Amino acid sequence: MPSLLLFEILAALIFVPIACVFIWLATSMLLSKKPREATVVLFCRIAIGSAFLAALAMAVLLPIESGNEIVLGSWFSTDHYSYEIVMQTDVIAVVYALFTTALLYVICSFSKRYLHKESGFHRFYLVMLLFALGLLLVSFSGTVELLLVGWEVVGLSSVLLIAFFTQREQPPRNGLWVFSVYRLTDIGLYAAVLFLHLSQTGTKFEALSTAPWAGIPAHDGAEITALLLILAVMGKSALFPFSNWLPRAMEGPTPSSAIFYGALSVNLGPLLLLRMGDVIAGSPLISGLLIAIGLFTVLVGNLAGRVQSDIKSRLAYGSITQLGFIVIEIAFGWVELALVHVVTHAVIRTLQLLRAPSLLHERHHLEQMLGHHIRVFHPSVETVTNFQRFMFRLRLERCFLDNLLVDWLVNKILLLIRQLDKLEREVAGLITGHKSEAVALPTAAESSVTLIRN
Amino acid sequence: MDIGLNFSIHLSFTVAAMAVIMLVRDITNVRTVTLIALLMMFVLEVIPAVLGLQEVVGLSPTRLRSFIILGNLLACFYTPAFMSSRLTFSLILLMNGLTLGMLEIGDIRLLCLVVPVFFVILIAATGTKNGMHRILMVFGALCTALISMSVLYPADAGLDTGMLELVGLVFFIGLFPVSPWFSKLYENLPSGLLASAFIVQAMFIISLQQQQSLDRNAVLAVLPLLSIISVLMALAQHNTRRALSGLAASQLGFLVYADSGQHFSDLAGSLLAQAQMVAIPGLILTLGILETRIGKLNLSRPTGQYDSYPKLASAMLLFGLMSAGFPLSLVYVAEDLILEAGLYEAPLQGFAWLGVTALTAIAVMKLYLYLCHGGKGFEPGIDILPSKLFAAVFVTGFLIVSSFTLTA
Repeated sequence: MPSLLLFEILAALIFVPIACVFIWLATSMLLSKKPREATVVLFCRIAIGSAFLAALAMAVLLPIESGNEIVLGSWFSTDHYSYEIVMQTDVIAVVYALFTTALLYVICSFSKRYLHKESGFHRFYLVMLLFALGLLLVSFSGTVELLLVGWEVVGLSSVLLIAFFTQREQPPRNGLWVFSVYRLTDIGLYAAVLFLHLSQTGTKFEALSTAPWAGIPAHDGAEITALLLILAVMGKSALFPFSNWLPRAMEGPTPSSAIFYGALSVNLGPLLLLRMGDVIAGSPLISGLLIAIGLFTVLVGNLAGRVQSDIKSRLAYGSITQLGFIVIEIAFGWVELALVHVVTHAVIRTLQLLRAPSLLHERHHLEQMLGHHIRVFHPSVETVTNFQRFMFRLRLERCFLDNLLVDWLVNKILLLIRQLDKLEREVAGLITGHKSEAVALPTAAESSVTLIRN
Repeated sequence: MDIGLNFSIHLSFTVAAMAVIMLVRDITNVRTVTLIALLMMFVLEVIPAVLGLQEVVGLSPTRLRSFIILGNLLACFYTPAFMSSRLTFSLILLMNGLTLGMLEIGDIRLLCLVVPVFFVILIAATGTKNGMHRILMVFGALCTALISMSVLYPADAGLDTGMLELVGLVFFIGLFPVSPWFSKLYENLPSGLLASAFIVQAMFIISLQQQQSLDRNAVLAVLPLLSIISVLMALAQHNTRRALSGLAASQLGFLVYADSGQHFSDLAGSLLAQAQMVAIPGLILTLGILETRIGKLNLSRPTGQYDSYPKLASAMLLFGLMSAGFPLSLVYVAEDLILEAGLYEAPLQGFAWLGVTALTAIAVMKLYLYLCHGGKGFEPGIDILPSKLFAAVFVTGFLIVSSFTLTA
């Protein structure tokens, strides 16, 4: 059998079962005929399991035939470019698909008990399947355009899971915060796609290093595009200065925290950087910038992580630190090391996050066995120097990143906009003779963005 | 032969006659009659296209008519019959007739009449409630005067007609700083009529710019900033209806930008209009439905009760994603085409529009998260009927499938 056909069949086996189960579950929910929990889990396991086996088969075939491209057709076309749907089955894609499906299978099994009889049980599995589709699409995408589709699907499903608990105020607030970071940094990805359209070299990843744009030489054009893509990576992977959204994303149920923030979602940034390998290697500016971003991320993750009082936040900052290291490895061109780091980090972090809820229970159990509380070392405040005090505050305030962003930017804009709104209401009131309701100016308690400090 | 066109004209007259009859005679189930009429029109537009008798490429009148009728069909279907008067449904039909009529108007002077007619319909809908007639008369008169002057003045009379037309359009679409009438309108009009009014505005922008071009430099200098302010006002609002007005105005601003570009493919602006004629009304209507069930909506903090209305929340999310240009939707394709040319022509403004699209998506997600999540209570029996969710799914599918049938 020709190898391309074999790869096409395997790619279909990765996507089609998950898509079918997603459609089945969505239709069942639409018709208000929710299937039994056990049936949902069984079908999800079969779909994700078959995707894992297909990815494994691909991994076996890769040494024989590497770097296949599967062209699925064209979405739409204009006079100078065509929106091609191309999938790439290379080492990076297969490695990502393998650990993604393996971890999803574990989490799928874990969630069966963890979310048993929760009102959002079916919703969780539906969004998880959507997330899996998005993640696999990003992994196998052969063009930046197709990557953007998967990237947005992952972003949307992540936000829906952060806001999973529908009866609490904080999850939707944090969901909105995360979505805002995602969407504003994704401007880079959208702009990069549009620049590549203009370059007329196509939107495949090889074109990144050879794309002249609007008269700018190829090298400069490639650097501009790379800078835009790095902006998107910074948002998705919680790199400096956008690191602090990750701990807030822990509002969702533990399985979603494990999937999305500890292991899989945040690793999409390194995937995109790995795809940009040639541009990074050929540009000291880009590699230098990445090293700087990575170092600052490591610093923020390490400093803030040390003072976190709950286990999930501490793990989140641990992830941020490791992501910083992974970015530095990619910047130095150590692709294999970065891939190994991504996989091992994802596996260990998933295990830690899934174990997190039972840690408290085990601690109580241990204390019962010992017959006394476990003593925690508290350093004497009298011995603290000014520098240590400053460093402690820096850690507590998460390196003041949120303060800078919220107090100095977002709240200022909101205040200005609300003043304009007040003016508009007054004009309307003058003409209609009907006094409008008072405008609420942002307060610390009301502003959605200021609540991120909570 | 343009089969759809003949049917459309025929049915427009029929529907207009029906609207008059409903005004003077007491027909008990007005909503059903209106729905049947619009559904007939939609089917008559779509069937010839499906059978291959009509072209359905991006700019074909059949395609545009289908989206207009679909938007108005949604407006009727989602307007709660128990909360609405005969007048509401009659005026939705009148708006539908006005929008379809614009497709057939070849004379730009005649097209200018649409503006006063539009404002008269709005005054008829709002009445004298909260002094609405005053503000609509003031802004309607200004808007009519500006657009008429831009059209009636000869090009060599020394007056910058392109600039006048732009100012007139900014008035017409309610962008900041001439937005007081638009925000008040959104606060006082039933959601069904708001949806129809949005369709009229979008269609007017396309029709006017097909016949007379705007001052492109002025568009580039002014519109991105005004649209960003409008969408930021939508984000900062606690009043949901005012937030919607900012969102709608910024999208209409984007449409003006798209239609005024000479570098753009003709397809781009038309596609954006088609998609937004369905997606934005859908969002407005789902919010209207929610308001009829739980009272005034507040965006100061999350107070939604997802468990009480999961179907409505899903419909709202679907329409929201479609209107925000989620990948694979028709709005995404249109934005892709528009911004590609926009970045080439003026990169800074192109980035500003990318910012507008991002802020729109955030505003839409805020509406969904704050109005459907966060509240503790549970109220049984307030969700929408499954048929309404099916309609939302159908429209979403329609917007996705139609993006795969494009040729530029």
